[in-house]
Amino acid sequence: MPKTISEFEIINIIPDYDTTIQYPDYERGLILRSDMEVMLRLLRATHSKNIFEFGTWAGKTTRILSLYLDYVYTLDIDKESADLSELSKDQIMELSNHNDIGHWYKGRDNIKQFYGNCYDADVMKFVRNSIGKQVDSCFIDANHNFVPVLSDSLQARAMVKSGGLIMWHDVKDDPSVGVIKALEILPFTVYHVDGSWIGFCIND
Amino acid sequence: MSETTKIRNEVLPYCKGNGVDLGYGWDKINKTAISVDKGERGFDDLNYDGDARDLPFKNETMDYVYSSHLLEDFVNTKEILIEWIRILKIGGYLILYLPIQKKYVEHCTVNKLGINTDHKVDMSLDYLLNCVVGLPLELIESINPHADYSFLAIFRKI
Repeated sequence: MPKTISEFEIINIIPDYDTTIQYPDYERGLILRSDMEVMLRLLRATHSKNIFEFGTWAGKTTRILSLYLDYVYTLDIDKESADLSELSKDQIMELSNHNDIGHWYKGRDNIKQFYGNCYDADVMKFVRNSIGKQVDSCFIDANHNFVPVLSDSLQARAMVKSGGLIMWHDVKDDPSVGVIKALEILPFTVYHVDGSWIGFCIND
Repeated sequence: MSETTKIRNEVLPYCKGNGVDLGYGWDKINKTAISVDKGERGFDDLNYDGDARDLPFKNETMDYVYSSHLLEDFVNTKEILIEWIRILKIGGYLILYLPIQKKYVEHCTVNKLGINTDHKVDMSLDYLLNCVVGLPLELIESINPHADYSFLAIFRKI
């Protein structure tokens, strides 16, 4: 289990962290307002201008991120492209059709949507080449099974600049979610923010 | 047919829990293994695109490390083994399926196949056992399952 720290203790790791900043543009989605505010405060404190998001789904989080950052890159796999034989019934239900991915953020012009499986080396090569640089931050909130989280996390480590921010959602003590299990194996110093499902680390 | 296909049945009983397949080559030993390889080879089921000589995992976190026909591609065999053992839990299994270089060359010659020029050492069971001297490993079994050019060696970390 990553070390749990309060928001007030984050200042010891990221000096510019400010617990008082409010973010009015929040629309109820899968991420609670409190979790979203922790993320936005972390992004602001690390002076992140852009982010790569693993797992777009309807695109509510993507939309909120796009309101506060210069640019958002986001990746998801659509039901048409996924290998359904590898997924549980619940996971198949959660997959979106191609046209539904990111429908919530339509109209925003600072979002770049990628489609595909991050296990596919050619997809990730295309993504990295399209972005053309290391990003300031990453948010991992896609398939929550152990190996996918581990894989996304290692991709994030390569994509985020040194000193940049990596964040995970669903950092919670729930055996059906593989996030903590993956974080226990990976060589990151991850902190879990008390009272939230957000974990973060500063990339080496 | 991949090399892994040839020994999957012998190896699967040892591949339980958290594990990695180093140099997996399009054919993971099982569905839950973490596949490690070089992404430039165009894999579509790759969990970590990187170098098997420097693994991004904490010490003693894996129940098994499986690798087929990779170790012979590195010069510094013992150093590689130390890195692979590092991530194994005590009691975890190191499972290696490797070519017997002499037999491999004979096989290629007889069958008029191109010889893999990536091989850097004269791999054999004797060579491997010599490399593990002093490492915290005990040999569980070593076999030449199909009497062809490969051998399987299974070690437990002690």
